[in-house]
Amino acid sequence: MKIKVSFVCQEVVGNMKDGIYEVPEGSTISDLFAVCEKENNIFINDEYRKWLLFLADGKPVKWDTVLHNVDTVHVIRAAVGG
Amino acid sequence: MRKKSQERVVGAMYGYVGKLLFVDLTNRTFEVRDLDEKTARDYVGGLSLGAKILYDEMPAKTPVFAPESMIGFVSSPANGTGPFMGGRFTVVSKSPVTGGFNDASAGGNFGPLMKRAGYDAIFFKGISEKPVYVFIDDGKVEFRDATHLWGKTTMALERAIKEELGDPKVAIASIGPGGENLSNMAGIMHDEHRAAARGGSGAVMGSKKLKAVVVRGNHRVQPYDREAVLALNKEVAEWQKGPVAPVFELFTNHGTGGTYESGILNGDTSVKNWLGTAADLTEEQRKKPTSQEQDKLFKVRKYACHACPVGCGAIYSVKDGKWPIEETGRPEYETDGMFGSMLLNDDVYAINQCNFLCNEYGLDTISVGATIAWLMECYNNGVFTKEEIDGIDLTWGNADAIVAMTEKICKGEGIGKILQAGSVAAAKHFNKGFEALVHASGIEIPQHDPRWSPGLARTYQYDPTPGRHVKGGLSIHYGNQPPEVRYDYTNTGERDVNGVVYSEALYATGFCTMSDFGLPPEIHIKFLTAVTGFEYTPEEARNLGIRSYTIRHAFNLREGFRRKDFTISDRIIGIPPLKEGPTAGVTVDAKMIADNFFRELGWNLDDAVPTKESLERVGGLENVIKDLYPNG
Ligand code: SF4
Repeated sequence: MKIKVSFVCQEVVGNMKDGIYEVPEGSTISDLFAVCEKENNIFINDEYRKWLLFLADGKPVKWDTVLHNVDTVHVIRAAVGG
Repeated sequence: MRKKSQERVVGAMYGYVGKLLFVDLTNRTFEVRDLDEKTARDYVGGLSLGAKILYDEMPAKTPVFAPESMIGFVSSPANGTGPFMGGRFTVVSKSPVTGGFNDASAGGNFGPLMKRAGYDAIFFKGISEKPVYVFIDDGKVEFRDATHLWGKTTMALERAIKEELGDPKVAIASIGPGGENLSNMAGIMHDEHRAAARGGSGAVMGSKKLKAVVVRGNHRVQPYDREAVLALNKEVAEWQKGPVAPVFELFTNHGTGGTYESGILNGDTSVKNWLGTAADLTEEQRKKPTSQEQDKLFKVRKYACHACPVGCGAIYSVKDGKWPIEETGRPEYETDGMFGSMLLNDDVYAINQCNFLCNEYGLDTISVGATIAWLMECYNNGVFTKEEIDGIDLTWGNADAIVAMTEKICKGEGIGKILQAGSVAAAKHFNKGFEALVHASGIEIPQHDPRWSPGLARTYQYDPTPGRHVKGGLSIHYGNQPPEVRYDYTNTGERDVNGVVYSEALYATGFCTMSDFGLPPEIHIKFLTAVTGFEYTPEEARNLGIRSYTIRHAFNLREGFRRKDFTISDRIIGIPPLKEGPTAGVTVDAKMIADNFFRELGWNLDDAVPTKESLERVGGLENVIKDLYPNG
């Protein structure tokens, strides 16, 4: 399954690149993120992972959500402006 | 109280000057009173102390622009005594918008410098015959003619006063033409780019012909335990480098506007007057107004409030485009949202021009942007014709039209004269467009959506200062909880009240609204003790927050407000629910959240009046008990 991943949280993930990432059907967000880490050679520690939220085709999902027929995943920050 | 600081220069108390100034502008007289230790300990500072003084000194049901109406500038113990992020002061008054209590706070340097000038708080009543500015110079009070300054915009005004006084270092809180015109949206500007913007306190100043309050002085207020303050600051620095490092990095580099795009994506930031979703904007349209992108175009330098290591502010200069600006503050997240996604606008030159105009004319960007959004929706639905809105083609996303309308509002020209009163008053004036209004008790809603973070429904509707995202409760951040947590409306009362307790004490102590990420949890009470020497048991610390909330609420009750009078627009709580996007299908059970909250406080559910027992439990609310329960 090819998924377009868009990072809207550069202060957390650094220079991870937006792009198409491939994971097997039935993969979780966690699996997808691991692929992103590997391909970018950037690895995010648990302390920083706390600041990440995910949207699959615009809907909130969690690390363990299984992805089916998803086109786009946004990785966004769990921080809001004042 | 044990004395710990080595040098103690002034004041009867640590962390305070110990003096309150009451100015009567009608007679040009003033009175200095001592701040007593019990009041300081019970009400601390900022919104809490301000509400206490307003409650005791201002007669009930005083019309907001009457001579007896009061406006207070209130510092806090953390101002100027060392704590990081502790520079915030608060303006309190009655609100011309809601008719109830209003507090608006701002960072910068005014709070610390007001204490240097010799006062913990300055309250004004009366109406000056001619425009005036009041100069507090090292304890002395001087009334100075402001006739020649009336009509000046805020940056030019600050510079003129500094030149007139021959001192570039005075701190100035002032109004622009918006306040002079008694606009419901008028705020108070200071340090050129900082605003105590919301609720119309600038209009209260304007009604008194008070153009500015200027402070300077050499009083040094000592903290009770300087070493403890330094040790706590060290903890803060470690916290900011540790668990919250990414957020610290975001705000220190890009300010609040760095969260614009993620806010739109997750459903927090409004799109199209709260009707739309991220899908109404292209990826490019979502990215352009982020401050990450705007910084590349306009950033000149960053700046910080007093004693703040975050420094979320920046100075912009717009050198090209249709609206060049020599110097302006970077738009905050709220402003980006209001003049950006709310209006389907991605023109950052227009956003900066609107921000600049609002700051210069002393108007609240949230209410101005929201009022334009209201009119834009009405216009696009054919409720208003082009002729009725001064020939401006206010179609969604039309940047030229947005700037033109902002200019009209700021200058009070044409339809802008009506719109200056805000969206609710404008709808009443024209007797149409009610279906497009989005507000809480008459004031426009800021850029955080209760359909995403449902606790905001209670906060917006029932906080004694309604329609504020910076007020306590389940908080904005609750939106980051998974749906099964945030949309479970049962048992929210304890968490909601805990959030209120936290934020009331945080702000009363003088900390910035961003301290909720910038400071380790609960450290504010340790700071408070380190600065003042006042010790609080956990129960007393809790009562501090509840007392602050209650005195603000009691002001409204005394004005005649009851639960039914606090309102919130259906749209913002998902009636009807959105059909698409991350919050599709959500209708917030606002009533249940509020019931839980009042129940937890021990207040009556039907009218939101605190029971006598609940007031007695908190303590320090004798005047409120007397007013609510005159027969015992
Ligand atoms: S975080 Fe920003 S607004 Fe808050 S005190 Fe620091 S510079 Fe001022």
